[in-house]
Amino acid sequence: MTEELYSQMAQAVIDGEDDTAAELAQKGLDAGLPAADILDKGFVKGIEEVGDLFGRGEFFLPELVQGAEAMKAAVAVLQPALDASKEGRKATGIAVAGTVAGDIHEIGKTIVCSMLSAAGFEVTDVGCDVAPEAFVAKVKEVKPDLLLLSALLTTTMPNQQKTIEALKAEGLRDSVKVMIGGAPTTRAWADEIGADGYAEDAIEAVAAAKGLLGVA
Amino acid sequence: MIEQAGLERIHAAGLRLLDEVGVVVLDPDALALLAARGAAVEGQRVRLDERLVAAALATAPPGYTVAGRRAERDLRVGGGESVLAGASGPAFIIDRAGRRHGTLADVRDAVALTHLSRTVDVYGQAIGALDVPDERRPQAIAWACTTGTDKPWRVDVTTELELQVACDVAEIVYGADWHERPRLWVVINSTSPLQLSAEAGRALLRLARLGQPVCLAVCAMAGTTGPRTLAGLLAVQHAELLTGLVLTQLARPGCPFLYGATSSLASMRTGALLMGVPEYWALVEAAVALGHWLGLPVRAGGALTDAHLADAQAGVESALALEATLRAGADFVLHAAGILSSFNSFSPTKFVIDDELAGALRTARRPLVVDDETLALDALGAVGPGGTLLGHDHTRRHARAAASSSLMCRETYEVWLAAGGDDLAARAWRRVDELLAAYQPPDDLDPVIRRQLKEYCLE
Repeated sequence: MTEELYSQMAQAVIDGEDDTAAELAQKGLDAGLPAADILDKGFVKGIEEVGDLFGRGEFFLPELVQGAEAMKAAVAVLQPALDASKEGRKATGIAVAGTVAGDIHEIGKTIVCSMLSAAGFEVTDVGCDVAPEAFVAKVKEVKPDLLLLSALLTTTMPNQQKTIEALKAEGLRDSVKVMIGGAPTTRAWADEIGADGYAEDAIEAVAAAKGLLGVA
Repeated sequence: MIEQAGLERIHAAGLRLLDEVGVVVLDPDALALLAARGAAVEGQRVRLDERLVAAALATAPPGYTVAGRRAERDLRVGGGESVLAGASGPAFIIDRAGRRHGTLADVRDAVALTHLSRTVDVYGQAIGALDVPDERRPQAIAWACTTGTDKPWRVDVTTELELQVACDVAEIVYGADWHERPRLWVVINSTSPLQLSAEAGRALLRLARLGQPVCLAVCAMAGTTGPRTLAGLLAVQHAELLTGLVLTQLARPGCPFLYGATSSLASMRTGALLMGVPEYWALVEAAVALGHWLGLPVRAGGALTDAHLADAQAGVESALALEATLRAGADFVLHAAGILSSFNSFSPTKFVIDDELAGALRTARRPLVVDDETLALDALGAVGPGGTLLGHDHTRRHARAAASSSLMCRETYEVWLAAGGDDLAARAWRRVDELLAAYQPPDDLDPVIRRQLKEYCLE
């Protein structure tokens, strides 16, 4: 019966059904199952399957994004119970991501966020046109392992550098790994501005993020 | 490939999006202008009703002439030959050493190749000069373009500085009354779905008020920033373009507006924009039909590919895209030469290959002349059955008319092999080297103007 429920939870993620996922999460809590078990044995199994199917070329970004949304819906229901318990959530890592100041292009960064979520990261997406000070404030608040900065224009790329400088000025640079990306950026640019990592697309971004945190 | 009923439905869908969903306009002046003229504004979201669109369509011209440095460099957009501009906007150059960020030296070479090109009319800003500091870059580019060619060139207007430099340089070169004629080649991008950034709105208004032609270019990506299905992609593109149209006509009725359609597929694996796909060729045809039906000149298409080398994929995709573009009758074509990696990279070899390609397509599209001379009945009668036309005067008269090419191999196998057996890319590199070695910049700029420009740009 419990196995059946866990299996339904996984399926809700695979099907990208966020309402069903939230209902099942609540059902699990009502049945007295530990929140950490509901997450790991139910929903995480689903998102892992989504990741496998994506890697095999059977699932694509729409399934990934919907799966991540279903996970988010389930986690939202489970969060109070997770917070109350001793272990909390064993996320792969904690990330903050945004598009830099002066730039309202979001889609690449949004896809990276979805893929990181699908890979088990806890991701805070701070949106677009984010000033260096706002990134700094969020890093102070969330204490992420990773900060991801996106820029689409050659005219806004310099704000990736300014954000890194702002972290340094606040003594926060060593507390977080910084990754950059966006069409006009390069690995050489990442090195030049002192970023820790770079990726050319969302799939590489997940691999690079895991690499930076030393996780598989 | 798209029926009239389909065009009408897409237009209706665009109007419905404008009326029911609206567009976010982030420039406060643009927002205020729309509100003042009766658009429904809530915060930064504007809803336009079809009367505003109809009024704008009534004043926007179907064509316009952009004045060049001399009358021979004037270019007519709309109702005639497609105006071709080269690659536009890449940050990267792909050359013998691979891919790297562009430099000012690369800009000068790209301007030189454009100057010598037989088909490219406008320098598109083939490559960025990322070695020049931001605050000096627009000026350095303006100097390179103005002194490197007498052909017109597209000017960047994303930042306040770029916009200011564009106007200042125009004034130096053309005089204080420069804006009494369309002079600038400008492309402004919306941010799909249904947004106009503050920079875009500001530039659009400033240029429209100066009577400068505004091309609003929409690049919605199917499945990410636009619907996955092509009709929906065209509809959201159309709604954004109509917003730009309304803004330009409110700012200055009769201001030339160019309907810019560059929406295409997103990869469902990576989310990246794909410009080499056949769906794009279909989208070009549909966008041109839509714009022309509404009486607007259209910018669409180009020699586009997702390849990272001037290889067979680049050749196939670029040729089919450019062929679709010219057959559809796009009035202005950006990326007509030299672009690789969707919109990301400039390639000198691709530039010279595409130049040939455009020339070849123009040759293919020339109307067939059927008259007494071309029917050659006298020559056939004289030569008779089993004879040869080779020695007849008629053949001698017309033998040189066919386009010749030193890039495409027309030799027999053994001759080709003996000469090195090389491929198109190798021959293209030789052509690039020869052209750059032979290049002389134009000297038509008035020395006083040249000195003023130098002071402004370089000092």
